[in-house]
Amino acid sequence: MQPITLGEFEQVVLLTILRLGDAAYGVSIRKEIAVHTDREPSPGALYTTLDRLEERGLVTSSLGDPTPQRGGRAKRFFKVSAKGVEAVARVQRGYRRLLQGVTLPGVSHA
Amino acid sequence: MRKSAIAEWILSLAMPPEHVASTVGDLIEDNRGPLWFWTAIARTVVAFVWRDLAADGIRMAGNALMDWCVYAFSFLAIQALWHVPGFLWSHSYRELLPKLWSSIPAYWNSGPMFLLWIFWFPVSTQSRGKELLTWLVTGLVWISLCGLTGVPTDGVTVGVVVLCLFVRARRRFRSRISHV
Repeated sequence: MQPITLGEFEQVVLLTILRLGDAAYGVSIRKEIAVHTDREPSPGALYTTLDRLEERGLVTSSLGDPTPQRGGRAKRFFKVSAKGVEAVARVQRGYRRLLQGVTLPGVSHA
Repeated sequence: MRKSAIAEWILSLAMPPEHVASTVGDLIEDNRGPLWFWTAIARTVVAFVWRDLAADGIRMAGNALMDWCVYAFSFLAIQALWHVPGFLWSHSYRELLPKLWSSIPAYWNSGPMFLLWIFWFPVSTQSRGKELLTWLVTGLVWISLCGLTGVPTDGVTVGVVVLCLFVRARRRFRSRISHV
């Protein structure tokens, strides 16, 4: 079986959902990414990525309760599936192995 | 119709229907003003269409081309039904083909009819009077613009036609995937 490949932004989204735990929905995911990566993803990029990850079975989603500040619309909460956790852990292990023994000039710790 | 309902309808052209309401809710909650809101809606639609185009461009283009052929022949048939009886009454049938051929450039100026045709099927299957009303109003606005100002120009019309073709091709592409 081929290992699951993940693009850079897909990894960012998966890690952000894992960080946010039960509070991961569109707005909170975008804000969290902006805080930690200094770049704010466009809504289009985020929603297409979430949709693709869900199609691939790497995340699951469920609807919360409607709230007035959202015009009575429910939040869609995302969770990383076991398959998603496995995929992101495998890719991150690969990055760590690549970084071992590498000195990055001007960077105190990688 | 409220802005959020219009936004939901626009997104439903490109996004999975079950995700539309929550996405509009996210954009409302962000509350960054109308310009940002509508830009975000437009960029989300383009992102979804572009994603499928990149995933299977040949099939998307094939669907679009097939739709175009159906549209072109439908238009020609309607033109024929409209003009042929009167034409044959006063002219020879030998003059008929050049007459129909010369009407082909009119395709480019048939935006309202094209828009109504291309969305008629999904609208009728969903039985949503609201959507049908929206498209009727769109058609009327388009006709008024053409009649009063001479715009949209050919370029704009071609742009709209191409966009509609790809939005429709995307719908068929997605529905085929969801049935697999």
